[in-house]
Amino acid sequence: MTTNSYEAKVTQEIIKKLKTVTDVTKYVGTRIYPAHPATIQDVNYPAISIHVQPSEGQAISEAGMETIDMQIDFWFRSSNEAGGNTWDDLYECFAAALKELHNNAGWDNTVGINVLMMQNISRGPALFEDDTKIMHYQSKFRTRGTLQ
Amino acid sequence: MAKKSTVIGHATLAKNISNFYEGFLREVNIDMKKSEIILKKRITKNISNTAYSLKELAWMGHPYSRSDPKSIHRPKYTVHKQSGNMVDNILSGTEGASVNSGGLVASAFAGINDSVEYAKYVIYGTSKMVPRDFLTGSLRQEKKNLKEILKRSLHEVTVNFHGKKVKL
Repeated sequence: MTTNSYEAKVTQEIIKKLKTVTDVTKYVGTRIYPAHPATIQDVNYPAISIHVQPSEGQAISEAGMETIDMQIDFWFRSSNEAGGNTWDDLYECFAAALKELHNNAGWDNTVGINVLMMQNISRGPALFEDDTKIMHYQSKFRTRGTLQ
Repeated sequence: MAKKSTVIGHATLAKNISNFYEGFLREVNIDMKKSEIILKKRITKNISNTAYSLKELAWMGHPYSRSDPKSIHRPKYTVHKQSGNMVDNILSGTEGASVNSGGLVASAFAGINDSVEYAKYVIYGTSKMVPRDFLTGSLRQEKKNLKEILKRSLHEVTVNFHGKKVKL
């Protein structure tokens, strides 16, 4: 993924939007990562990660438009751990992110992207990692748009 | 003022409509079964990679993990076969075609049985392991083929018309 690709720009746009939502930032602060935590060293929680789905077999060009699916994950430490959170906290954060992103489209000159469509296409399951005590909730969003 | 009219041959008409629906639904069911097989085959292929042993993956620095993540396969969601438990627990099937309120309902599905708990962690990833959504990936890989199969239902329907097989 190059810095000027549609994938990179739409990831940037999602991060920008989420950073404006109080019920998101009150939990994750600025920890909204543009990659999956498994590919990042020293991840701090709670956090959100944005991961572009592999595009094999996907039609990505339609009159200059690109359609891609993004996996947006919510990672919270269990409330049994020091400084941890509850599932309710995680769901509040997810609901706020969903409200901000679903059907939120438009031009953004500062990022250089025109998002024509952004829709939540799936959510869940809720997963718990026994070894790390991390609660994980995943969601998928489909976006269609063009670079400006 | 309403006018009354008599439809002659309405019984034959109703029978022909019924024959058409039966023929059409039968073709759709055949194609659903074909779709199920195609999906199942693709999923099996995508989770049966044997390119590297566990020892070799460890020697490569655990490429799916945080320690040294890198893409070693195409497609990226390819999964190595270890115990074979996921392959053994592929769940697939079809739901028979029917027409409800003017809409056609039919489906084919393939996935992994819920009893294989770790499949979810492979698909969605963990904080230490990259996600490999081989179900969505498999569906995308076969999307074009599945569309072609479903088109066939609409083109090659044969119905029994006055005792003769008629291709529409």
